[in-house]
Amino acid sequence: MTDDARRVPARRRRLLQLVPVLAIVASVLVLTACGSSNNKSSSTSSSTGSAQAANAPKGAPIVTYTFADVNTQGPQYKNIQETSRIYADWVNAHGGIKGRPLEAKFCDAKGTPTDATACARKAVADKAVAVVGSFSFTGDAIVPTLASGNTAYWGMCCAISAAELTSPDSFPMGNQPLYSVGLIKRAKQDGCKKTNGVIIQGAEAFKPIMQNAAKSYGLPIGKYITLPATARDYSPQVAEATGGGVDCLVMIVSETPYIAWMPAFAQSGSKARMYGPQGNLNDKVAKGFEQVTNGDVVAGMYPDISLPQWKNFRAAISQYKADPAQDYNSLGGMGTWAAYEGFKQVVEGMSGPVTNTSFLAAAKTAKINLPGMLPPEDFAKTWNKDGGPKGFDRLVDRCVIFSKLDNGKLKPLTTTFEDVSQAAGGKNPQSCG
Amino acid sequence: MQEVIRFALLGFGVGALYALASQGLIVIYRGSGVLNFALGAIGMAAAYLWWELTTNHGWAFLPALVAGVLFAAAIGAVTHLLIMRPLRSAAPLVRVIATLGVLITLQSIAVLRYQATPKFVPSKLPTDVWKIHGTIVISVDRLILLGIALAMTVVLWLLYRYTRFGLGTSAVAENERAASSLGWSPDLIATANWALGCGLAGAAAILIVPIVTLQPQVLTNLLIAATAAALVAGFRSFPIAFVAGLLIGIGQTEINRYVTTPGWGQAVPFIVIVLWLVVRGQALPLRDYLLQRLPSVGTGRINWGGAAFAVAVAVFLVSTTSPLWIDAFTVTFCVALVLLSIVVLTGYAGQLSLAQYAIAGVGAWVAGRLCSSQGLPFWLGLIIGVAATIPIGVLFALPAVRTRGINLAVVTLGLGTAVQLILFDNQDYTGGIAGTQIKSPSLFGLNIDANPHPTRYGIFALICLVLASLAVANIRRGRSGRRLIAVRTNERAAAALGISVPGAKLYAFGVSAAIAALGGILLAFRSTSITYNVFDNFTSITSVGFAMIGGIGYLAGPILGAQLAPGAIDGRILDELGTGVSKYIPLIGGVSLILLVLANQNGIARESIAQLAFLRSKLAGALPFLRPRKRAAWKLPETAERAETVTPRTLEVRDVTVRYGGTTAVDSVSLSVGPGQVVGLIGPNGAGKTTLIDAVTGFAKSAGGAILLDGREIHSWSPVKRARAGIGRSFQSLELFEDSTVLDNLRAASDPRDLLSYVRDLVYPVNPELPSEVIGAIREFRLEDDLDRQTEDLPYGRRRLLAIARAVATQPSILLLDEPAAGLGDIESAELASLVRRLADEWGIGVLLIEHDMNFVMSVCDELVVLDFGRKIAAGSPAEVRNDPMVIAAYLGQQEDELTGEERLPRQAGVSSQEGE
Repeated sequence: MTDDARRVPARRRRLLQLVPVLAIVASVLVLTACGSSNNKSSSTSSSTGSAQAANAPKGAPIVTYTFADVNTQGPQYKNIQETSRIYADWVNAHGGIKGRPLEAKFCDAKGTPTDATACARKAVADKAVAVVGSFSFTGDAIVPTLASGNTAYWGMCCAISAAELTSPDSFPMGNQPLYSVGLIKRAKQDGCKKTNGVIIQGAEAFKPIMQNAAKSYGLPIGKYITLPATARDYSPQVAEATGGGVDCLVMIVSETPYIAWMPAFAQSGSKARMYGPQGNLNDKVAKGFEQVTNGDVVAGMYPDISLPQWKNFRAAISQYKADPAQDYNSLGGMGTWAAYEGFKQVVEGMSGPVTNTSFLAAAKTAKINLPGMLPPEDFAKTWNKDGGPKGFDRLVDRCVIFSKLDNGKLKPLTTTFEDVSQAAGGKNPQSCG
Repeated sequence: MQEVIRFALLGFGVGALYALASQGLIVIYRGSGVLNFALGAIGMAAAYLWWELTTNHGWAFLPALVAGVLFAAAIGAVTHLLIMRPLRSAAPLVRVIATLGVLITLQSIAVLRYQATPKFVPSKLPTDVWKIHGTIVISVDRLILLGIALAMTVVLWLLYRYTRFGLGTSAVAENERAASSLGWSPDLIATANWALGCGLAGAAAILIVPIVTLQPQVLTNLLIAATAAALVAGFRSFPIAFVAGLLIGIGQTEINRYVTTPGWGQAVPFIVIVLWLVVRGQALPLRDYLLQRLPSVGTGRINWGGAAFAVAVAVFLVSTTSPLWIDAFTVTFCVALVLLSIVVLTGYAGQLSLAQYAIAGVGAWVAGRLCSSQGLPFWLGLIIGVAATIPIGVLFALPAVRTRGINLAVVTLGLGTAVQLILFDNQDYTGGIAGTQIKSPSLFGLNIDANPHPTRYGIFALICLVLASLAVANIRRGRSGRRLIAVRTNERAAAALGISVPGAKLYAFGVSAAIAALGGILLAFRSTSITYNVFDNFTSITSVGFAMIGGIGYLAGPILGAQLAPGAIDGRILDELGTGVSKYIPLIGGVSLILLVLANQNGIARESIAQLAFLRSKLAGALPFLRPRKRAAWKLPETAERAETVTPRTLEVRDVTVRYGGTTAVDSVSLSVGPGQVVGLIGPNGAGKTTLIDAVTGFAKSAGGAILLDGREIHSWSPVKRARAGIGRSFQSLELFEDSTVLDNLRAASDPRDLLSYVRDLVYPVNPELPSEVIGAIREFRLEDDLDRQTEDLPYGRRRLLAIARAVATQPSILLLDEPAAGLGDIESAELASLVRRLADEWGIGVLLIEHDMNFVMSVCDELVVLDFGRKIAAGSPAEVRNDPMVIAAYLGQQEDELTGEERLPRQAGVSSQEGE
């Protein structure tokens, strides 16, 4: 080793001599930070709002967490972060929750399972009452950790992982993946003659539900085309999907590949109407293709943001200066807002201390009523207790609502929720209110 | 049929993109020998600039295009001058990692500035659709792109074939030093090629973003697939790359159309990579391969005190910190296991794999699916997962038997990506909607679930890491380690010593697969709901970077490198520093990677060990227990001065012919070497002497004749089998294992070749006593005082002696010495001559000696065989040959009667150049 060190040029050796110093500094940082980790979560942002003096909430804040992928090279959901922030500002300006201020912390899951787990651990370590209104592609890395810390994963729009759909500590308020059933329902109602399905790779689990729905509604689907997950020249997939006189496409495709799909679709000259999911087939996708997407149908779980029930949300966006670059008429925006509204209802219905365990217990029998935002939801009657098929245990929202693209803008198509439980393989219908 | 044609035409679009991307890769590879993984990101930078200028600043298409292309060219030139040029003699691995640093840096900047959300960019090309027949259509913009790709191919082909710049690039690629001496500046050529390649990438990126959208990662994904086309073209031929790109695009489109199982279509380029290299198995034209310095390797010796202290600190931290920190430590341990697998495979065996995370994922997948669907307990799933991954690792090694260096990196990247696309990304194989749900892991009735019991799980991961590290240390110190290091350093020399090169590679892949699988399983089982998306190809690439930063040849390297991984310690520290820092972590990572690669290619571990030793020696004054204990030098056992004679064997060469293409290098040459006989093989340069030795030892294929050892035809034997049968050799260029000690060189030669040691070394490395022949050789060659020295530190004369001693240490019956006295002084030559004579007389070794020093030859040889232009022109005793007119003519190019007596052999022959032939 001494010989090796001798061979290193002096200038480089001087540089390298810094290495142990840096290592020591790093070790000190580790030890320092380890010691303080329980008291501080500096990678989280939080908002307690600027409460007005008149009805300022008092007492210890109710701490929640919201997770989303922000600093990632994949899809980013800063709208979720922004919505959780402005909700806290808004609710604290309006008396807080049960008279206490809301401290809505945010943790960036960065699109990796490891960071998502770290977020879950952080929430548990901070004794968060619940993790509210989150979305991550890595729910499997979140829910088990929260469950072991008796912390509810509350109110997410879009349960996408097995753990989110089945864990008793998971409380999805959105209807994912049942909007796919809604798409088929609507396609049938619209008189589609020849329909194909397009599914983004990784979402193949939608296929059995869609097949059930197609059978139930009597809408034959010619074939299902799998769209490669990474954006590329989609012309071959477009050709396959639209060939043979297809007039309707039922699509389970996320926003990023949708944007890459559009040029090839437009170029194909196909007149097929696209049926896509809320938050994915949206204004951004339609930009530059306003004519091509005109009349395309969007199935979702939340009605359009322009409707009266979202008045407070719209006001908060404006009043608390939510990042204008984000899309709030989306699952991320409306879903997070609705999740916090649901959280508030549960907490305000609780007696005794508001802790993670008491909230979890209350959540398991909670009845949520957010008129116009969501159908009535009863967590005592999750789908596994109400005749639902295996694998979708936790769904309490089986109702869909529709929008359509009108000259590049989303407009409400329906204003009432429609049940799709039985078409999706369930035994009993749900009252959609 | 119409459908097939229709989709074939649609494949032109994708194919044109691959063709364009592969051209840029080839330009840079031809110019500088670097596989530039950053090319897609450089193209992306150009495309973003173009987009910003046209969208936000109102520039017209063409000026913005020019600005984008110039920007990309500038990034390329700067990358070469500031990063790749200082690394020009670094190992391929180091240069690949440097390009990775550039990639991460550029992508991080793009995400910070533009976010990852894709931007739709309207096409500036006509987007009409041209109807050919029936449903067969093709869009005009794809046709134009195809035309551009074709035009670019033609222009590049002409440029490199007919211009001074192209000729210069070829000259530099063939032989940098020779080209320099002819006035070509390799740096200028490389810089120009980098600028050209990156400029082309910029142009291509700007043209294709309307099709694939503008976002940070999409062009890099495209580029990795395009590597297949460049590979098929040997990273050399533009027309072949163009055709290959199109065919891959068409193949991908057709498979997507007709194969419903997801993943197969996207996997096409990667399957092409694997098949191509397995079938062709031909190395890329790696430039100055022998000049490339490999990262250094540790000794495998363990400082037990230090190790115990480190483990105690780790246990303390895992036991006392918050779950958030414990998870960061656990992730560090798990990732360190994956990096440890890279130490075995790349550090020790020199096999550059870019699939270690895929292999780790296979382990996690096997264990996860078994525990989930069959309800196996954790421990059993773990064992089966590790065991089942070993054959997969060996399967990944099959291409390695035929390829090396960057080729191997590309083929493993292809294999890993194919596994990811076909297996991990396919819900049919990962549990469908239910996913992979497992019960809480437990061991011996103790619940070690990482969620409720993070400390238990963390300590279990630590124990696994410690045990695996001990096993790897054992490998390094044992016979297996010497074999791996020998293969890493010089495959030819290893084979000449009877070391099975494929066997060593398969072993390295197998062991590293097991270790990676262990890391993968532990990483995945931290959650009771297992996902496989962490085991992607990009993480495989970055993990090699982490391993290198830590120290790819050192046991401490993985734990240092693993701290950089997502979710590990460093990220935790940065997280604690504040949210403002968090978003810069990828950028910091990319820049750090570049700086660390430039500052220290051997990794942090080596310098840290040296610095700790220095610190320890300083503290030892006050704390005597820290005083370093001097390791006793290895002592030569007392044994008989002279070894027993070797097994007597006779080598017969009968009418052997060797041809290289149309050139006959050896033409019907016959000779015989018996026990105790020294036969000299002489002739002018280019006579075919070394080629004949290569044919005898199996390194060159003979086109005719017979080679017999004790009457047995050995024509079909591999070099290893011939070596083990008693045919030893030395090399003209020595080909020592430079980064091993003298003793390890000799041990590598004399170690028994039993397979059992591969297993036993994992637990208990046994270094057998040196055979008496080797001890004798050490004494004969007076190497006693050099045994613990690094080979690269020896003076030239002693290196020559070591090369012969190493050949003798294989206890050969027939020893083929290729210019053993080259570069030695008169006295040393005379001593060596006496030694060679004694090897024959006292040990009974038959020696075939190539040597230009005629005094040497005449003094030791019983018989001489003279070659000229591949043909035997004379044979007989030294006295007979000395006066043979044919020989004299061959050496001096004139008839004997034209010579004066003083010009006759041997003196004049001794002035021959000692260059190789």
